[in-house]
Amino acid sequence: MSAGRAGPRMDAESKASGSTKYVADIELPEMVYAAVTRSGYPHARIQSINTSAADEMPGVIGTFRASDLAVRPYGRAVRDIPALAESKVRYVGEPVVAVVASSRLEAERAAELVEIEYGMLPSATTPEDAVASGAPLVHEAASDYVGAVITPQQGGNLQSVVTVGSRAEVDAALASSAYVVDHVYQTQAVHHGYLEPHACIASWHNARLHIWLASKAPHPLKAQISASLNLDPSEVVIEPITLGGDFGGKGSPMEAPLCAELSRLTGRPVKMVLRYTDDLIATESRHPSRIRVRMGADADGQLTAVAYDVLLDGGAYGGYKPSPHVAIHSVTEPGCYLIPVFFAECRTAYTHTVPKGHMRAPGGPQMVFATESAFDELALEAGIDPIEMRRRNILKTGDVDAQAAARDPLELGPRQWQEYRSIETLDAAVAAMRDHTHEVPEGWLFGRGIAAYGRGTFSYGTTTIRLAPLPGERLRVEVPYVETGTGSHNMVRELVARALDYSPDEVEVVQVTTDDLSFDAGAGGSRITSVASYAVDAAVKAWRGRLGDEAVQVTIDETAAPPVGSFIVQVAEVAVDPATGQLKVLELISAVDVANVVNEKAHQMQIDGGVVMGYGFACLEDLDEADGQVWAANLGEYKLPTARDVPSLRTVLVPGGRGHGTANVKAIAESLTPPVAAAIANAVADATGRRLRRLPITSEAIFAALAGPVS
Amino acid sequence: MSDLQVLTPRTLEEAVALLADDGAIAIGGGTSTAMMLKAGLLDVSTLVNLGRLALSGIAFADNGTIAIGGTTTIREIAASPLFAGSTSALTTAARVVGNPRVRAVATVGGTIVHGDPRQDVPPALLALGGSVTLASTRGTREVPLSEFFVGFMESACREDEIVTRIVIGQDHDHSAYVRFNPASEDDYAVVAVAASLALDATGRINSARIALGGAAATVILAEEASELMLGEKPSRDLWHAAANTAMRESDPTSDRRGSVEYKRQMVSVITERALTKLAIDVDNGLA
Amino acid sequence: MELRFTLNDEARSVQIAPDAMLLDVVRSLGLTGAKEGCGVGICGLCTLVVDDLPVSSCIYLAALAEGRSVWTVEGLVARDPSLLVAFVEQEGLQCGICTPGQVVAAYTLKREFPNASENEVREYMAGNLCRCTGYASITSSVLVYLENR
Repeated sequence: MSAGRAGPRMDAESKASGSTKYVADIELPEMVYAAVTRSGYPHARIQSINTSAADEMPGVIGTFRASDLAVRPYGRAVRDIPALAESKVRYVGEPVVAVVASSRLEAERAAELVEIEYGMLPSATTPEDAVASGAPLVHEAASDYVGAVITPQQGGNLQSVVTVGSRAEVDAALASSAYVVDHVYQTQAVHHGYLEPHACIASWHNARLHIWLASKAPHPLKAQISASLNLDPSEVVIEPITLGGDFGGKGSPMEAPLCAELSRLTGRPVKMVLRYTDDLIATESRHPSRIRVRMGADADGQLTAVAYDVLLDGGAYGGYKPSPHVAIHSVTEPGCYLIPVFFAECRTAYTHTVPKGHMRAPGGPQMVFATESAFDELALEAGIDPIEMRRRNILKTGDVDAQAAARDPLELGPRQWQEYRSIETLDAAVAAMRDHTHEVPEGWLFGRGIAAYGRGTFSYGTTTIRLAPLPGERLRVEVPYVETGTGSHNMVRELVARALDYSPDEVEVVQVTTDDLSFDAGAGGSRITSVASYAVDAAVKAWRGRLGDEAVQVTIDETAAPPVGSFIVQVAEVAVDPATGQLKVLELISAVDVANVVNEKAHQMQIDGGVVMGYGFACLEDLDEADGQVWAANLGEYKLPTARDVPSLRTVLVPGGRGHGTANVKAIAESLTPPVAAAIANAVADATGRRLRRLPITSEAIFAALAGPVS
Repeated sequence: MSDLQVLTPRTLEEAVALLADDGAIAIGGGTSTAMMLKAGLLDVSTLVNLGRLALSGIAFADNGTIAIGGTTTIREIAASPLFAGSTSALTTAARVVGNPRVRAVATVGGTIVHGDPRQDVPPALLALGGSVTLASTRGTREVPLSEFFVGFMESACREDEIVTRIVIGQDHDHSAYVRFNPASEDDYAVVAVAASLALDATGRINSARIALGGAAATVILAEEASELMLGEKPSRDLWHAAANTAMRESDPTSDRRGSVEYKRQMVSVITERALTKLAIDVDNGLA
Repeated sequence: MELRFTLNDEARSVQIAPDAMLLDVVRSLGLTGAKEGCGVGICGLCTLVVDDLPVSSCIYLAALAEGRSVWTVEGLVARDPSLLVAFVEQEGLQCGICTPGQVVAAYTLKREFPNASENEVREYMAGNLCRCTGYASITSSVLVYLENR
């Protein structure tokens, strides 16, 4: 056995040859299909439902409404999501009636014939409208929902309000600051853009509910489904699946409670696969944001105070957010600087629009766009080079991050960073800058911008792992989490193989059902890499301590994870055509602080994929929500970056960092997306003298800005 | 929809006879039809598949014109050496349509009948000039390209007619197609301009056509702008004047790609670029 | 209606609904490599080869495949093993949902543009979306495939 030689990714052959099965590819005997009739209105009372035409369509087995289902509202933290709308609809696209038929097309065609009479109600389709006094309520009693954090006194259309620090202190500090900027930044609704639409199969077998769901969090799912269906968790089994992309959009129960009920009522396995339009208009997108940043500096460019007033559009339901505060993390985080006085208030509003949820680095791209743009604007005010200004203010190893209390829910109290390699990473980014002016077409304007982002590596939550010997001196590793695409299973194979001196092809890694291994919090927060490495450490230790040839299983609840993070600095080089406003991003450099990289190729793809997602957010993607509806309802209108759109990407790894576990790993999955938009906006400002504070940055916006004054 | 029939006639006679039926429509690559069927937007009983009618092919025709069979694919047009030279605008346009899958299946007949003002090939055809031959049980008729694009998603082709061929005129020496895609390349243009031009022995313009895509309810000829150039010698000032006139003739609608005002401004900029692309080529003897 | 065609070099005859799309017919025959993604011919997940040409099978009427030769990813990787080797070696994938479409597109690219440059590869493959990888590993998989004999 040769030790841990990195071989091809274990699922590559199966995926590339088309043999890997995803949920939509799974067939069960006697399986039937479900489709739903969706609301065409943002807010309306359901007055009557007439399914007679649908019932008569060929292949139809049954039509079902909310009153037919024995299901309670569900959600990841606050449980406010109904499987089918009951007395009223709260967003365009909300499912109202379900049809079950012998084929998917038959179910969909019948669903189109369901007649629903609505009584129109006034709607609040923007967060500003929703928080204004007298706004029509999205939920009559939001504070009554299980898991609700909003109080009756806070009232109105709020999902959550999170406040950190003192506004009065910030006001005072800013009043005496040499330089102050005060600007509002806005970001749009974007979608995860996973290419596998939502899919679910529910089947009752031997009095147990089996679920195949395109979901990244099987154990939380089991708990959420049993709660919503009033089942004992032992009656629910989540089957292992392969996921076709997640990015945060497949962490909720999604269609599972509905399919479970349909399966119970029809006595058949029920499969429901969404059409991509449904994913775009009616699943969960990133929270659009309106972020007011006030930032002050003294005469030497040292930050004096930072205040954020954030208003997020939470959409019609809050249940897609897993945070106990029903908030998204980054919007109350002060970023990567030493900030003497800090204040943040984030209000997340209910609106009559598609629900909003978690998406890769929730709150990060919004917040970093605002922060890094404001920082550059402040640098401009102070007459200090933006790179130099960052050097003067950035957190460094050993600094106490007094604002750590804002980080929720994972840490409390001031945190002293055992390692914060900001300066090293900044130096690496600057050293990597090359001259791209020769690529600038004639007449175009050249600009360069920088953005910085620090993110902790988290190993929270419980996980379990099992190692079992196989004949022929092979090893089987069982894990409770899904392969979401990041290569997590392959990484576990590498770590186990190296630690126990196997060749990787002698080790197999499988996700098992929720029956077979106990709780894991699911993929998210980039936790899998580090928590898996701790689990592998513990399992390897147990394996080495075995008496016989038995399998070992370990559960870890806590890790002695050091307060370390990863630091990213991005540089964008752009060219702008003043005749049209067209923006060409010539290159995006990402300098990334790393410790040990287990699989270089997979790691690089997380970097590239993260940057490209950030680029889409900055320049291309917009669900185009207006009048309570998503208008970019297919991929012809919602533009995901293509291989040709992607700017030239360059990665500079800054090795030597401190990670988690003996594998010494840092998280990477969510680190690259947040700074891209600000790097580009800062570059555009450098090129044109115009500051764009709204995403996406379009040619028309630049064209209009160029026609106006310098900003 | 299982009462739908898909019929594949082997002769043109058979095909037009089938199309004479109410509720029958013709399909080339069938992709627009497929999308409408999936969306439940089509109420037809018969799809007449033109794929086996031997209506594809590109060849020189009378007087040096070029005839393109109605079921020729966009891919075949993009790859054809016959469009090098003065008709290269068509090659340029065909090469940027959609993606390789779209180009492999979409037919030029289907494209022009579809009537979407945002497509790439129609403005190129309109600028090159020529005519469309339509066949039905009533016989055949010719419609000049300048009269073919009637309205939004509407062409001069009737429901019982088949585009058998498009003949591209030869009254020009140079052509160019420029489209403006500032964000994703994999998208319709904000606006697009195709231009063709001929010079007489004294170096004056004696034929000019500017066609606009994505700038009105249908692809249109900017007639005033085109006429303005007749009798003049090519110059930057002339291009500029023509571009501004073309802008005034455009009538775009606002959408995700741009507001009305932005698109109008871009008509001017892109028209000037399309004309400049001709002039550069004239200087080098290319195009 | 009856559809007679060649599927991965095998003569087939199947009963289809006249308005069925080729994607659904192929998947109903157990060849689930081709996937439905966007459903409007943009994302490329459904890419198949029909008479040597790449098509968006989700908007390709199955009836139009009458008498034609259809290839899916399963058949192509058996027919040309270097195709699979390139993607596996270069690890041109993550979640894998777009991968069959990428592989099929690489196959048709090599037949049409055997000497494609990196830019030409990106231009051709731009019709196949990927949300995970950022494309560099897919581009290098295709370039390696072009080099392989």
